[in-house]
Amino acid sequence: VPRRTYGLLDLHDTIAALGRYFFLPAVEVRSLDRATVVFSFDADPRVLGRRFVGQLRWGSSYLSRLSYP
Amino acid sequence: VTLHIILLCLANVLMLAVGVGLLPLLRLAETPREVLVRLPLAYAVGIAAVGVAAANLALVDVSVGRVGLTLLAAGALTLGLPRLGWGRPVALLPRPPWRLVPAFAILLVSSAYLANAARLFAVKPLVENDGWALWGMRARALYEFGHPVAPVFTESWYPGLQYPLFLPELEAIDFRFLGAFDGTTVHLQELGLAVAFVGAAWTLLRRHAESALLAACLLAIVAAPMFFRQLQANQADVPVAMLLALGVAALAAWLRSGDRGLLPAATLFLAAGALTKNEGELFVVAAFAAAFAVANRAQRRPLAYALLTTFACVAPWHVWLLAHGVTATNFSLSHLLHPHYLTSHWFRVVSAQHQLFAHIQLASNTSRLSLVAAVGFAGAVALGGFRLTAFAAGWLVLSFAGLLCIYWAASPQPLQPDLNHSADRTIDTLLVGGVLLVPVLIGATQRARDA
Repeated sequence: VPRRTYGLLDLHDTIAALGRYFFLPAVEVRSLDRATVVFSFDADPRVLGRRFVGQLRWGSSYLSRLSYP
Repeated sequence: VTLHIILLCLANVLMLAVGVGLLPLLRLAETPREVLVRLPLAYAVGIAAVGVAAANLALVDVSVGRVGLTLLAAGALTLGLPRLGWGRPVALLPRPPWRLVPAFAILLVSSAYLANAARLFAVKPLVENDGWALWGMRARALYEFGHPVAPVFTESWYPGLQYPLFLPELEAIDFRFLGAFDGTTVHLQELGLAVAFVGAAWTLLRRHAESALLAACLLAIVAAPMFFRQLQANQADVPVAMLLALGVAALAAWLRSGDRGLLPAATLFLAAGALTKNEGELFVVAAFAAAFAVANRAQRRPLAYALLTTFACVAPWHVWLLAHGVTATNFSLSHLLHPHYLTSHWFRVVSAQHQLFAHIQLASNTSRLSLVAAVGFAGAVALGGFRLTAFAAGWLVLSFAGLLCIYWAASPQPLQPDLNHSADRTIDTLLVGGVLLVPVLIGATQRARDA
C-alpha cells in the first residue's frame, strides 16, 4: 500500500489496520519470506520480484498467493 | 431477536449462574432469599469472575466457551449453593417499602435508558476506530485462535499490546457461544455490563447509602452523554470505569462498616478493572494506597490480603508479557526516574492537566458529573464524614496524578494528538467512581449520626 495521505489519515496505515481486522485469522508478517499471501492496494505486486502461484485482481488491488501454508 | 442474540443471552445466563454460586462463597448472600434479592449483583459478580478467569486461562491456552462456561457455572453452583442457610427464617425488610418508592421511580428511568440503548446496541455495526481496530480485533483473534498468539499480541505493528484480556476474552466467550464472530451482536455484551453495573451498585450499596440518592447518582451516570456514546463504541473505558467504581465504592463502604462480603466484592471488581485496561491498574493501586492511609489497624491485614489477591489476578498477564518480550510501545515509565527528562518535559504535565480538567468539566460530554461529585464530597465533609471523604479524595487525586505521569512519560509520542485522542475517555473512571462514591459518603455520615 503506498504511503500517502488519505483524508486526515495515512493510506498505508489505514488499509493495514483494516486488513489486520478483516483478514483474521490470517495475520500480518513483516518479512516477505514468511508470507503466504500478499495483499496489494493501489500498487503492483510485480515490484516485489516474486513468482506467485495464484492471483486475484479487483481494480487496482491484488491478492497474490506466494505459497500454501 | 436473532439466534445470535439468544445465544449471547444464554452465555450471560451462565455468567449469572457463576455469580449465583459465588455470592455465598464471597459472603455476599447467606440465604436463598438473599441470593434472589441480589441477583443483579450476582450477574455483575459472574461477569467479573468469568472475565478474570477466562483472561488468565487464555494465557495457558485454555479457552472458555460453551463447555468451559457451563463447567464454571456448575462448579460455582456446586461449591456455593450448599453454603446457603436453606432452613433459616426469612429476615424482615429493614425499612418500610414506601420509603423506596422514589428510588424505584428513579431506577425505572435508568432502566428506560438501558432498554432504549438495547434497540441501538442490537443492530449497530462495529465502526468506531478503537472498537474494531483494537478491541474488536483482539476479541476476534482470541475467538479464532483460542489464546493470545503471535504476532497479534506480541508484535509492535499490532495495537494495544499492553492491554490485558478481560474485555476481549468476555467478547470471545460470546463468539464461541455464537459459533461465529459477530461485530454487531457483541455490543449487547457491553450493554450487559451496564445493566450489571446499575443492578450491582444498587444491591451492593443500598444498605450503605440513602436509596433515593444512590438511585439518583446511578441515573446521573447513565444519563451522561459520554456513557452510552463510548459504551456503544466497544471501547474499554466505560467498562473499566464501571468495574472500578463498583470496587472503590464497595471498598469505601467496607472501610466504614466492615460488613462481610464488601471487601471480597471490592477485590473482585478491582481485579476485573485492573485486567480491563492498564489505567485500571493505576486506579487500583491508587484505591489501595488511599484505603491503607485511612484504614484502622484491624483493617490493614484484610486490606493487604485483598491487595495480594488483586495482584495475583493481574500478575500472570505481566509474566506473559515479559515471557514474550512485549514492551510498551508508546510510553516508558522509566522516564519518570530521570530528573533531566522530567524537567525538560514539564510542559507535558501542564498541557495534560489543562486538557483533562477541560474534559472533566465539559458538560456536553460528562453532563456535570464532576459537579455532582464535588457537591457530594463537600456535603460529606460538612456532615462530618472526614475519614471516608479523605479516602475518596485521596483516590481521585492519586489517580489523576497517575494519569498525568502517564502523559508525562509518553514522550517521544507527540502530546497533543495523544491527548485529543484519549483525554475524553481516560477521565471516565474518575467521574463514574467519584459520583458512585457520593451516596456511600453521605450514607456513612447519616449512619454515624443515627448511631
